[in-house]
Amino acid sequence: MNKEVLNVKDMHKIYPGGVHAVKGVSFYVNEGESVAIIGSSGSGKSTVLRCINRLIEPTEGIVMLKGNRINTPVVDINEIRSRIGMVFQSFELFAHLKVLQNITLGLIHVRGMSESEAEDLALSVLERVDMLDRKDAYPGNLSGGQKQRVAIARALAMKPEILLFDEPTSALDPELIGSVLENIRSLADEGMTMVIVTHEIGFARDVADRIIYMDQGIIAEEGGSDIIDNPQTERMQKFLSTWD
Amino acid sequence: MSELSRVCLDSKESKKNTLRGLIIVFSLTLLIICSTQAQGQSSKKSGWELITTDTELDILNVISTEGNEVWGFGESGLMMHSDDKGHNWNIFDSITNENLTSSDYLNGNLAIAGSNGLVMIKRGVSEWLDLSIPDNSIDLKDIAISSDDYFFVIGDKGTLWNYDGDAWENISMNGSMQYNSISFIDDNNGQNGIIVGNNGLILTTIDQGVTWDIITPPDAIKNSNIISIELFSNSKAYATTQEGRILVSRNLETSIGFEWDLVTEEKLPDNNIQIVNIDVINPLKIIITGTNNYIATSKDGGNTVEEHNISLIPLEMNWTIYDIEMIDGFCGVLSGSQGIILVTGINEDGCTEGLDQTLGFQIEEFNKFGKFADKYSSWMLDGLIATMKIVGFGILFGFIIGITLAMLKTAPTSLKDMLESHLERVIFFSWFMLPLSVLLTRQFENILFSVLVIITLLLIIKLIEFVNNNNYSEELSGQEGFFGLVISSERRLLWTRILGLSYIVGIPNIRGMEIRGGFAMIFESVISFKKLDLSGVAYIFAPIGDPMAFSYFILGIFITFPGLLLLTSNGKYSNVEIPYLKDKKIVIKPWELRPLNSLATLYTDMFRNTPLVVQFLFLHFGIEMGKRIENAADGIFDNIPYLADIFSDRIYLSAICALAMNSGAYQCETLRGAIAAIPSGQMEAGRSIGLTYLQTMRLIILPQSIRICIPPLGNEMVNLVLNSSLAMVIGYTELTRQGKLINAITFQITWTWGMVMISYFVVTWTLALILRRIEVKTKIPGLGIV
Repeated sequence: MNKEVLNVKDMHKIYPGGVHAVKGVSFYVNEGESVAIIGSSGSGKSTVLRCINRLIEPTEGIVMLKGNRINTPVVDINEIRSRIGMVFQSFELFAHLKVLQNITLGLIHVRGMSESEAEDLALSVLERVDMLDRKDAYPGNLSGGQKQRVAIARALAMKPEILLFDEPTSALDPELIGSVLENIRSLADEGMTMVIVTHEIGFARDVADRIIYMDQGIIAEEGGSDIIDNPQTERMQKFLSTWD
Repeated sequence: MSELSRVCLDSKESKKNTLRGLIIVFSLTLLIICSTQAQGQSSKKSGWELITTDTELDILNVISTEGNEVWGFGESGLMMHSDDKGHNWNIFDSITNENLTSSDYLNGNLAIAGSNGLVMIKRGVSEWLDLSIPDNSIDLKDIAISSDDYFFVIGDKGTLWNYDGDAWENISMNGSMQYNSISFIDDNNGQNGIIVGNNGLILTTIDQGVTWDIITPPDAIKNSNIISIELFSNSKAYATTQEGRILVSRNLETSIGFEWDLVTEEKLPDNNIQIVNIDVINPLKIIITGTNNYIATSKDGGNTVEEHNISLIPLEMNWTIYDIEMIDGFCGVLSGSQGIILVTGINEDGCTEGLDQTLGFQIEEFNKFGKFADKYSSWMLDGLIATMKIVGFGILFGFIIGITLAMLKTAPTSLKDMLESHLERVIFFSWFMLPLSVLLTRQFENILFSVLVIITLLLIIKLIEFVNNNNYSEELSGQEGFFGLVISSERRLLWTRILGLSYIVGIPNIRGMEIRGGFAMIFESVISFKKLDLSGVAYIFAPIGDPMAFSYFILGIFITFPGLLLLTSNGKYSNVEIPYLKDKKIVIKPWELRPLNSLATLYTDMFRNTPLVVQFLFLHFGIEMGKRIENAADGIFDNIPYLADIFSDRIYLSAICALAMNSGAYQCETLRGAIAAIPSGQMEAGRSIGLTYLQTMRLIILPQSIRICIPPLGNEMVNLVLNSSLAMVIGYTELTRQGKLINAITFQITWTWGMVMISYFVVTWTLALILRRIEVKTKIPGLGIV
């Protein structure tokens, strides 16, 4: 059961300007597990997430997906990325395409599905995030919460082996957060493998099997969801106190 | 939310309706304008002046002798004389009642021929001498003097008589022939002569009429009657058929008259007109005259003839212009039925009509704009269509060039990426494809062929990759490389250095297989520059002095730089830091260099920093772009008339190229700005679902950025329409040049340029309307403002 999906070993990232954002981060994610990465702004959590699917190239370290190293020049990174879903803080829906086309685009051009196949699949994932009624709307006419649910649907449609969330609720109004979190929670319940970078401490505690607390580019504390209630390190205690 | 979107939709709908209304109003106005008949009168001035004579008889021929002297001969022995180029005439008492049909003049000898075998000759100032042929039943048609005392007459039923100074000799050949005209050359002792007649008959002699050769006429006029002939010089003779088709015999090596070409393709549009005479002023300027007031000039050696409008002169409709005689190329006399004479106008400078002007061409005086506009709007339309033709292709190709350049400019492929992720691919292209293309070019001496081969190979590779990548399986396919060719990470550095070395040294000269490396290219081109012997600042013109060396120089730099970089690589792709003060340093990032970007920048800088007029001139005259394309496409499109037409007009091709290449450079910058305006998250989102860079560009970034840049792109297109007027500098007859031509004919400066302005406005305004409509149609909620 405890099959390892993602393994990050000693990851470093030094940006061209010389900022050492990630200083030797190692962690793993097992199948069906959801891992939350929390931490204050600038602690390097988003960088870690982006290094996993190489939207940012890690300077050093190894990223393994299902036992295969993926951060070498010779792998087909496009194929790798199609197996790693990603949901962005600012949704990044394709503004010129309708909701349905946003989802079918990847299926048609990456998976090589026919249009009707892709549409069937897209409709089913839209139903899952409860957005079926807005399938013909343009992203510009959707609310923030709806956009993020479509973005989740877009990532889900690719049937990813792991789903990365980059602060999925940070850009949302408080009253819209609920529906998005509900969707993520149900995904966790269905056994989706997930890495969630979030500021929602309470949500992280509820949903995540494990929590990683990052501070200044390193993993300061790691453990089950109970570490939120009983932080061991001083830094995490301080961090959590600002949230209460 | 739905409320909001409904509002959006409503406003869109109303905008649409306004636009529709505008278009309807516009087209209705156009329709009304077009259907209204132009009203107005015009008075015209003809280049010909009518001279009244005291006779009603037909003047059958006129001939100029010496100086300003002109003779006219006509019906019933009509003889008239003028000594002021035909303005005042003196009619002689008849000395014969025969119709004087023809005359010829050579070296003081004036000979006339007429009905019933009449021939008379006047030598110098002496009286007329009757030299009629013995057979007085023959109506003579033409007479030609070949030398002082030697002349020929032709008549009905193929009669040909020759006077040798003593007596007439009948040298008729075949009674079934029907001769119309005879002409002998004025020099060369008159050895060379030609007779033309019905059914394409042409006879030529080169021994003063002793033997005559029957010449095969061009097929198209086999059954036509060749009515008139003039031997202009010993290298050119012109003849015309009754339908106004001009034939020419040009022969530089042997005598003329043996080979004939038809130069006028078209028959006269009016079947009622029959040509009776041809007069050659110079090898390009030819005048033909005929029945129904017909007179026309060709200014291009007969290819096209332009009819004179002499309708203002009060002549009866069925007036026949029997003869025209140009006295000196500037002044001329026309003779016709009912004793009418026309002369070219004379002012204090002599005759107003010269070789540079259209002889007898009207200068119309328009007192009503309607008439002017009515007449010249078709010219405007022609110019407008020509403009639209280059503009249309210019926009199309300009956009293609622009979008390609913008993609190149924004391409993130740096040297580092190329080596890190695609070393195998780079090696394959450098060591296989490049040498192959060079060798192919050298072997077939045709760059097009090798380009085709390379493109085919690239397509095959792409196809194989496409098939491979589309086999999506649940399992990770693992390492890919390039066709299973993977260089292990320990060896990568070594291969990188070898690759760098190969760039620098190339392939040494073994059995002519030499491919020069970067060093050799730079070295040789520098030597070539030295040979140009330029001094100091003049070296900036070296690219024109030796273009080949310059291109090798640039190429050499493009090859040597990465070569050196690769050779000295330590596998870390680090920046070069040069400290110059205690704590300051210059940082050079050689690995961040983006080759594609550099190429595109080179192009746009070239075209954005030189004037468009100069680009037109350089492309058309400097490197003969149009001619090269024409030659390259020669014969390829023979079966597609439309394309064949396009590819045979080199000015048109050059104009399109210059416009498109210039516009492409500007459109590139516009598009690049629009691409940069799309949030980087869109690219990340596209890549994160597994699209390749190009797919993301094509499916996500470009559709959005093109929507953003429709207004500036529209601006650029309007600019292109306006810039197209510069095509006139290479002789392309677009709207502005057409305006210039109209101006040259009518001198209506305000009207002409006003009409040109309005025409441009209509085109660009329509274009702007269409673009505005497209902008509204492609509007996406949430993208951009309003």
